[in-house]
Amino acid sequence: MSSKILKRFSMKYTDKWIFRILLLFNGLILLSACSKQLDKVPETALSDAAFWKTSNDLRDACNNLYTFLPTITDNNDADWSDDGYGTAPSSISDGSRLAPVTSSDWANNYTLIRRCNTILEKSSQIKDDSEQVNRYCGESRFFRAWAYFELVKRFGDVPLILRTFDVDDSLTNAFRTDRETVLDSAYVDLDFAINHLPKASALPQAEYGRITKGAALALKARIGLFEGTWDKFRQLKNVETHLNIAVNASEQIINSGEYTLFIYTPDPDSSYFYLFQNAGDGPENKENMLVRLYGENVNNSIASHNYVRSIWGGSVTPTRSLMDAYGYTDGLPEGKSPYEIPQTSTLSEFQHRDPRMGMTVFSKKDWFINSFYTPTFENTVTGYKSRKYFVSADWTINKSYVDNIIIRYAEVLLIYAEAKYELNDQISDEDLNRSINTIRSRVNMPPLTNAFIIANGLNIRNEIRRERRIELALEGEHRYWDLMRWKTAEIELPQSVLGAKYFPDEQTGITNPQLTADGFVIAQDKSKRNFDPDKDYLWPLPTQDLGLDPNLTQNPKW
Amino acid sequence: MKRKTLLLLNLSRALCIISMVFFPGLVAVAQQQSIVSGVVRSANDHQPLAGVTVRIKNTSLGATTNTNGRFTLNQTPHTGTLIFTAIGFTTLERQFRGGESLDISMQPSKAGLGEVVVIGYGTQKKVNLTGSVSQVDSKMLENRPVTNALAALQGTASGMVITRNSGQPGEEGYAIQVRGLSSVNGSEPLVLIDGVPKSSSFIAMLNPYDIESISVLKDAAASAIYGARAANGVILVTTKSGKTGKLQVAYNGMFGIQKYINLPGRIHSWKDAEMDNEGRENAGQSDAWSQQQIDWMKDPNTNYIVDPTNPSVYQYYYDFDQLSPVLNNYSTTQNHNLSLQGGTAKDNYFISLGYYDQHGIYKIGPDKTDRLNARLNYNRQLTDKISLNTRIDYSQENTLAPPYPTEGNGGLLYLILTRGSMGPPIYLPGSNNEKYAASSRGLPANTYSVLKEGGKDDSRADNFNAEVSLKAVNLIKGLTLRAIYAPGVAVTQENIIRRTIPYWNITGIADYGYENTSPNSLSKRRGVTLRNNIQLLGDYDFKVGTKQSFHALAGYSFEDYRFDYTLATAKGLSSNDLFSLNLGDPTLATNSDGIQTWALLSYFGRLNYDYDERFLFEADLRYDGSSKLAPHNRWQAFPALSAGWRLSNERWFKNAFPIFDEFKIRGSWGQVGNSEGVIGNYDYIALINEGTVYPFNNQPNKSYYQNVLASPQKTWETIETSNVGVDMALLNNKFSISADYFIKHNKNMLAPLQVSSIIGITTSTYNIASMKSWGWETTLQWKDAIGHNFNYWINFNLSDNQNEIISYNGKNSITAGLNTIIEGKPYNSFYGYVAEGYFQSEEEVEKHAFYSNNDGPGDLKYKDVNGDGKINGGLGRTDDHGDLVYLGNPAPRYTFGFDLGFNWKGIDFSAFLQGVGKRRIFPSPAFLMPFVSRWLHPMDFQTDYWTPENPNAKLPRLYYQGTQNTAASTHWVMNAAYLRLKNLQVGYTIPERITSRAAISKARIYFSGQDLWEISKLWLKIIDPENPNNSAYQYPYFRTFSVGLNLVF
Repeated sequence: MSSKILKRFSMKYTDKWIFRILLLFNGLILLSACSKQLDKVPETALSDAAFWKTSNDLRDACNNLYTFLPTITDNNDADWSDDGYGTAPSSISDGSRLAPVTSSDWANNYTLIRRCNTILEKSSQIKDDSEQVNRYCGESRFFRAWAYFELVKRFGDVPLILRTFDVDDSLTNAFRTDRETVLDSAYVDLDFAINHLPKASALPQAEYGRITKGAALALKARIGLFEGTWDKFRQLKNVETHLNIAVNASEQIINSGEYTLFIYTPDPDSSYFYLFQNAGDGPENKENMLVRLYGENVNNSIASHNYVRSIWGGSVTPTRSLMDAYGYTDGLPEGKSPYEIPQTSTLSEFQHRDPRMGMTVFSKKDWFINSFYTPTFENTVTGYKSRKYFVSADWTINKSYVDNIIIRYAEVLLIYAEAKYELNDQISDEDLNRSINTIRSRVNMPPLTNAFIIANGLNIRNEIRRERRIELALEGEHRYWDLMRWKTAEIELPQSVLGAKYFPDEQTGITNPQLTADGFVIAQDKSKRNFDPDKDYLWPLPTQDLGLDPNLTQNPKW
Repeated sequence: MKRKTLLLLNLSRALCIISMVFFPGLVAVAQQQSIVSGVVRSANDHQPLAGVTVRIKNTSLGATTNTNGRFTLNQTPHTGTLIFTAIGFTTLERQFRGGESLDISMQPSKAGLGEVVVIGYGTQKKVNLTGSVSQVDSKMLENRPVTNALAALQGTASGMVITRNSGQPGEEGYAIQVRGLSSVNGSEPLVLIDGVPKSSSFIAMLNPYDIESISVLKDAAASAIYGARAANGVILVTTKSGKTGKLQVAYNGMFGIQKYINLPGRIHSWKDAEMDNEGRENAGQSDAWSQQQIDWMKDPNTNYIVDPTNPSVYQYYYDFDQLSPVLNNYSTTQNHNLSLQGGTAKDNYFISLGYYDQHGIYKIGPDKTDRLNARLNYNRQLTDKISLNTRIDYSQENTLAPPYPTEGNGGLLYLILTRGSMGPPIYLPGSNNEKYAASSRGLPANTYSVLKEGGKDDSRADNFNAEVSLKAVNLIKGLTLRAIYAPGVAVTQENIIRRTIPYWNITGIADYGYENTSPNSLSKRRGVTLRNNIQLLGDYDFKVGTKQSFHALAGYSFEDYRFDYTLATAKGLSSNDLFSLNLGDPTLATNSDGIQTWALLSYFGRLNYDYDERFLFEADLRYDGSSKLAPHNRWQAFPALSAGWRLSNERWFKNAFPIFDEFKIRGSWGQVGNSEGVIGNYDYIALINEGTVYPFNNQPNKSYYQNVLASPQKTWETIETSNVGVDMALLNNKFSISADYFIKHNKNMLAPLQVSSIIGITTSTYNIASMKSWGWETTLQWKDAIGHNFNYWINFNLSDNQNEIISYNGKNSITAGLNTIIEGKPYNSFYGYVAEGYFQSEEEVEKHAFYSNNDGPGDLKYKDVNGDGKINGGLGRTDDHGDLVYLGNPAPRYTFGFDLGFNWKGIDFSAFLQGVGKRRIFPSPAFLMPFVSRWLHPMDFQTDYWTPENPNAKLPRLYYQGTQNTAASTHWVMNAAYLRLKNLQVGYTIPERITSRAAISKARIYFSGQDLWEISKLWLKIIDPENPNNSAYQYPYFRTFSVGLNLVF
């Protein structure tokens, strides 16, 4: 700018070196005056425009979807049902919860849906490998179906969002879509996934954990059974459609021969126990169809959990109700079996019991942390402690790497049996043999046959349900959703939550216990538990979302 | 000509500068001719005046009076005229003869006619200000045993509120706000040090003794020259320059002891156990502790037993004081400062060195901070028109803290305050105090061992700033040009060392406390911040006739910022004593970095017009371009206009109201931008974030997602400010009053466009809201003397402001607790239930509207406002929020500062009080009641809870893990108004006749106490009214008692 003026002054008034400094300033200013200096870009973060280039980018985006899979601590949700109890009452279980302001059950699923939609939309601009592109679209559609099923289970009708949108879009005021439509969309997504995802056997070891065709089929079967029975026990239509989907999808899995129940060769009788130990991890286990991965070990600690300490602290403990559900080794349930005796010690109730009881619940015969288990009420309100996922060796280091099983083959067999039965109100011995009896034989329980049922005056539906409850006990939310779809929550949940029988000379950690007349500890009394059938079969929508989207309506009575 | 001569000339000049810097006295002494000396006093109170410039007319000879008002001029002519000038006094001329000793009395100027205030890019006579500006004098900052200058500024200027959120040395978290909120997004004022934009943390890094003055520019007229960043006011800090005269060496030293305040205590372990049982019984659960266990706790002879179910662990039943092994009763702080200054007519220098340190509450372990400051301000007249002004400062701050958080749940204070005596002792019984005891009930490790062995968080910040400016005056008459280059470098280094601590049970090591499987770790964070600022300024003064004077300013500025950090972490190091990244387990090593950049390019101008010192007008305009905005809306202009009328210069006014020495009314309007901390550096670009890795194939597979929507349409919040004010001085300038009323209107405030979470992504903020804030400020000052020896002053300032969200095009939702934005309500509106006491009986519960299944006697009874038989928040909409009612907002009202003092002979006294007149706070109920969470055990203030025998208790009944009382309700609303004695100083200046024998021109000893006393209406004394933001287990504040010494040689 003003170099001429400055030069004039410099001659007149100043020493040359001052003039030089002024010139230098001048130069600096001219250098910086350019408004290009205002173009600053992020130097340590990727921009959206630069990211989506190849199918590898789709894969990396899909990797993020897996972080939405249930974590191992979600198994604590068993305390929503009558199977489990935590350190404090569950407000879902005892009916004391209020409509929340925000809800992660609501918001996180929509976050997952948006990320799926983003990948599906961006995939159209990636042309490098159509097979890979389709595969990751398949994964995204699996997760989208997963999210919608989680939403429908809880909230019933929910807004169906199948594309990304910005804040000025009309979808911000979306209405709730009929649950039937939402689940139809989930079936379509899953069919795409089933067609484009690899079979488990075709999955290279390095990709173990990614969604397979089998996992997509299993989710489809799960949805079919849920919705079919939900409708059936509420006298709604479409019962057969959904149950047929469940039967067909589970049958496809069974017929594919891709999956078998896990057998722990060194100790086959305890296979059910080892399924939930480190021995059950990895692709060699053909039972697990979808797991949340943890890995690898203390020396390569990429993702760890401390679920062992959580169980040890009593975050989910078996209830009396669950214990009573276990049958006896003669295949007969409580009230029918000659093995049933009055309880005389903490150990006596484990005698002649379905072996899965001992593999699910700690008794004195089991190794605990650095000694055999001592029955106690310390860190367990019910006086019981769960064994599933309890890896003794991990207690001290407070880190575990056991994968969390989300869908396993046993569940598919149970879906098959139940869907078959509910579809026809009967089930053949052949179908029982290819499903439930396979599961029972792993734990050396006698097979369930129509003849056995009749001979002992049992109810076939009850026994199918018992089998499901026992096999999947304390594995997260299974039992709770079963009670919801069977419409039996209104009977089971308002009962007192009871724990172990109190033997003062055996158990410590309790003072002035509240006991039933039979001497069982009351974890939560009936008077504090409530279930309103007109209200509690659907969850409350978060009130903030109701405020923000005027077209959303609250579920009845919330 | 003669290049050699020039070179020689330059060399000799350079030598001269050096010699004057280091041996100014020598230069003066060597050329002694004749001497004139004397003392200058104020005609008002006869007190000596320091800092008066004494100059011999028509020469460049001069001096400045020292703290005793004394001056000495050497090498003077034998006769001549002396000119005495001082801010706030009428300039005086006086004949002298060589060798004479003078006693000069200066008249205070009318209303501080000469008083000059620092404003944006210049200075202005106070009387000619048309904007709203507060000036804080350096005296308010000196001799105060405070952490930093920000702490000393609290309460000194009307409309400026300074807060802190912790007492932890070096981690106090000071924040400044000027005139309350003008936005919900951030209201941090722009801070400039010697005209160079910085941030408020730089004030904290300054040596308080280096500060000459602080100006607070409050309205748009004063601040609009700083455009896009000026909405929350501008704080201009000016550092000292050397005073003309011979070398003056000053030492200020202070030593203090501190005592923490408002830290709760523990209760007996057995009392804790009894309350635990009671809480569980109320919740229908079994007891946690048997009578025998409680008896053991009471019995000093039974402190532990071997766990009958597990022979390898002890069960502990102590009842011992966890606090005293860890906490200091007193800790120390000290402050030393040495400055050298002097100068000639051609140049002056100010050199200072300062050191400050403070120790925290912990008796053991790392808990201290210190700061070192060095500064050289050197001004040199290069030619008669061109001068060089250089300012170089360096500061270093070192803070040592424990490697784990001290505050919050699970922090070190939590461990001693709520788990304390229930937990294990420090050492395993029988281990000869060598093995730390493991916890038997899943409790975390104890605080003592972590402090003693756990490692440290060692952080250091080095800050180097330089400013070089060249100034040319009168190149053309009235024209001044300035060119400024100001680079700054800040380097932060933080090493967090976490050592392995083994915790033992009977049979061996049970665990490693906080860090379980990666027993030790080292995190190194290195950050470099580079700032550049270039300014080109032109000032032009001219007159039209005798009555009209003009001043024009035009400027250009470019600012560039870059922050670059690297973080590297090693775990599982092979040594537990030597911490280096090289020793870590290579498979566990991680590293990351981050870079933030921005730039701001600006053009600005100002025009002042003064008609006959009666009518004043000013216009400002700034045009800012920022890298933070999308290119298409990068540039914006910010205008301001203001006017003033000095009624006291009107003849009719003087005749009608002779009592007034000064009377001015003024008004202003302007638009300024809000941007500090409001807009992210790259908000307009859609970014992809890195998510959690997923362990396919036991590899850390990367995952990516978009976290926030981009917002390319975003622009600055523009805040329109109107201000009216009045400045008065009366009673011979003894009494002055200044008052202002303002309205700020944030017309396009950024707000999150709230949409239902079905959108599945975090939305960015948009310019969709508007907010109004308004308030007033007043300052009263009284200064007088009684007789010759006693003079005194009283200053008082009081301010208030309020705000309201005028419109919010986003959607409003109302929830229990704090709601940031609701149309028609203030920012942070608090909604809650109306608590109508406690339920006293089951029948009462049955009859009352339903809230929770758990409701029972002793729980809060919430009012059924809408009468629907249920207590809930309705749909959470503005038109249906159930039983929730508006309970106020936590913004402080009526903030005030009050200082008074006197000098009597050698004795001086001053007291400074500060406070808030009205404030509602909403501490988190979950923190106020024990057992809301399993891990929250009672502290000593939590024993007054409801029982049938204690129906009017402060707290509801105990209820293990119950949430029926934790809802936001009137029960938990508290009044945090307070008055605090921030500083009390009593000093004695030893008469000069004694000190001069030791060649000391001034010696003062004093006591200075900080935060000595307070009153507040908080019934919960553990919350400090200065920091009511309800976080749990806060590091407490201190009372400080110090003694100090000021010496001037």
